Amino acid sequence: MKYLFKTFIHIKNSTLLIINTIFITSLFSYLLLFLFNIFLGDFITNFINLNYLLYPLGISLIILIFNNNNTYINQESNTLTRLFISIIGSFIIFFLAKELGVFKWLLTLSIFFILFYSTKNFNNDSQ
Amino acid sequence: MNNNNNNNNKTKFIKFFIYLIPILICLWLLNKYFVFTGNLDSSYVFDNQPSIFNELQPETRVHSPEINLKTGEKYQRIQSELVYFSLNIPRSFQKANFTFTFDAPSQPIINVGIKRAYEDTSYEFKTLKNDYFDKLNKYWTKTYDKNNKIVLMQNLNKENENYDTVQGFINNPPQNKKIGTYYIDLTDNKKLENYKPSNKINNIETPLRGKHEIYTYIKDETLDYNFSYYDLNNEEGLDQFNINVYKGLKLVYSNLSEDDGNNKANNLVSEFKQFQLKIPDLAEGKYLIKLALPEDIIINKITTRQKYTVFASRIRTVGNRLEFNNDYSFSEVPVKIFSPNSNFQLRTFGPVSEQEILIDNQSITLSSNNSSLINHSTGKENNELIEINAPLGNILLLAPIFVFNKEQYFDPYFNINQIALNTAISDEFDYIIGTIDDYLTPQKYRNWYKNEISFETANAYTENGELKFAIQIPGFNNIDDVIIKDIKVNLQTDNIFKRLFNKINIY
Repeated sequence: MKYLFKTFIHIKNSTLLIINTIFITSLFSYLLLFLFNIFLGDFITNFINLNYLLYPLGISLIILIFNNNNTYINQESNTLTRLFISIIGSFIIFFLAKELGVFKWLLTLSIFFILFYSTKNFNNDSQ
Repeated sequence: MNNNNNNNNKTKFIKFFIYLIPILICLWLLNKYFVFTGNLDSSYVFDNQPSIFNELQPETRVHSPEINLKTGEKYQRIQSELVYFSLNIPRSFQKANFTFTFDAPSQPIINVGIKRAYEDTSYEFKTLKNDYFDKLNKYWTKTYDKNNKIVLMQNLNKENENYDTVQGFINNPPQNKKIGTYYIDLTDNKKLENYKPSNKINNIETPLRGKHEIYTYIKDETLDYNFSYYDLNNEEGLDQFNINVYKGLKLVYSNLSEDDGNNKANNLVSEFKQFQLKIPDLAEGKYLIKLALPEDIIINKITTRQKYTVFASRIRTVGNRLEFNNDYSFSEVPVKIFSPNSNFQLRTFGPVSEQEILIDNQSITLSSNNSSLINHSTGKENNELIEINAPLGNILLLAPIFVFNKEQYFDPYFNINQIALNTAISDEFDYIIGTIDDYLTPQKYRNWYKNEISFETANAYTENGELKFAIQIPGFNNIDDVIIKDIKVNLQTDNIFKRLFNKINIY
């Protein structure tokens, strides 16, 4: 019985680890492709529908939230990852807010710091 | 322990595959962007799938995509022509090969064109379907040129001179015969005998509004026109002086001058501006100058060294500008024009321009209540120049040819009776000649027809990285029977190694 339970826990952990990988991969893929799509004048969306990436992203996110073991969500959230997410996020905002003039810089910087420090707190909470 | 390791290995293996998916997607996208192989394929199938095709436009000329519930096939009906579509391309390509799947039981001709320059009239059309050509009856013979690009059809029912070669016909087309032309300008190589350039400077001082077309003739002289113009700023948007010069169907010069800086509809008239058109070393022949101008632009004076200046299709005259800067009005400028044609359409604008117009001494009353064109025929068929007098000016006149001065007249059509594209091939024609290029008869495919059409795209006009195309259906009778099932495109360029090699060679 104990062995069965251990096996079950192990399978569950492995599955969550895989789902976590799916989440991280689809999130980064989506952000990167979204950014390139802005850079390349909608080139990416001429070939793939970016919304399809939101399905694995959303489903994996929901599964991870309902199995709220922070080990999985934050397993790979180091400073470099936070920096990466913050830069991509602020870049996207920079291009989307290009008509705001000087304010776009203010908005971009704000988004960068918000993303960077909020993910830090998130890490701290989980540890 | 061993089991755990095994599981960890499995997990790592699965993770590797998960990481591999976006890498493969990125590699696939890289291939689409850099087109490593030199081929890029895409299709437009009306199901919102990602595609380099932009939707058929404008929306008012097409129905929403429909679905056949029996077969599940999606398609789109065309309501009226012209219909446009464009391709988002990541780089330049040399060739675009299209495959159209369509059905058009009642439309004899469908053409597809690629945009070659800024102006909307610069589309180079090729034939997608031509029933007249495909279903020619036994009384017609077909003769092809050496390259299979031009076809000459001769009517055996009529007593005509028989031409053995297409070139023989082009070099010496018969006079006073009904010749149908299809994407070919027979007058392109025609020359005026005994023509000598003029030493005189000719002025046209009747102010003209909006787009106009001018035919002139060049031999051992510079094409030299000076246009003095200004911008009314009546309507919102850029008002650019767009000029294109053609020899036959070939664009030899194109220019787009900048707007006056005021693109608002505030009625602030601009300063007078000049556009000098000077093109030396042109081959002898007839040239067409297309002034693709918005209605806000008034040409108040044309000065030229050319002996002949013949206006084609349309004349829209206005008065002289009276006031400057904050407001303006027009004075009356009487118009005297000559034309060899017998059928006219005309109208005037506004109550102050109500007038009696004399066309070959026949009086026509132009009322401001009449916002549509009035048809008038003089009944003459001898092609002599007749005089048109509009005492108050401010008129729109439509006819094939006009001149402001009898001395500036020559026949730009060289007495060759050209027909429109949508005219049916009936026995009234003596000859029909046309460019068929690589036209193939559409092939039946299930309930549809398929045909291929190719365009050279290296020098095509692009706007925001888009190649522009148009679907033309001459004489479309608007009964909704032109249906497009899908459009596939194969874009071709050199492979990446050849492109890199070429770039290295340049440096």
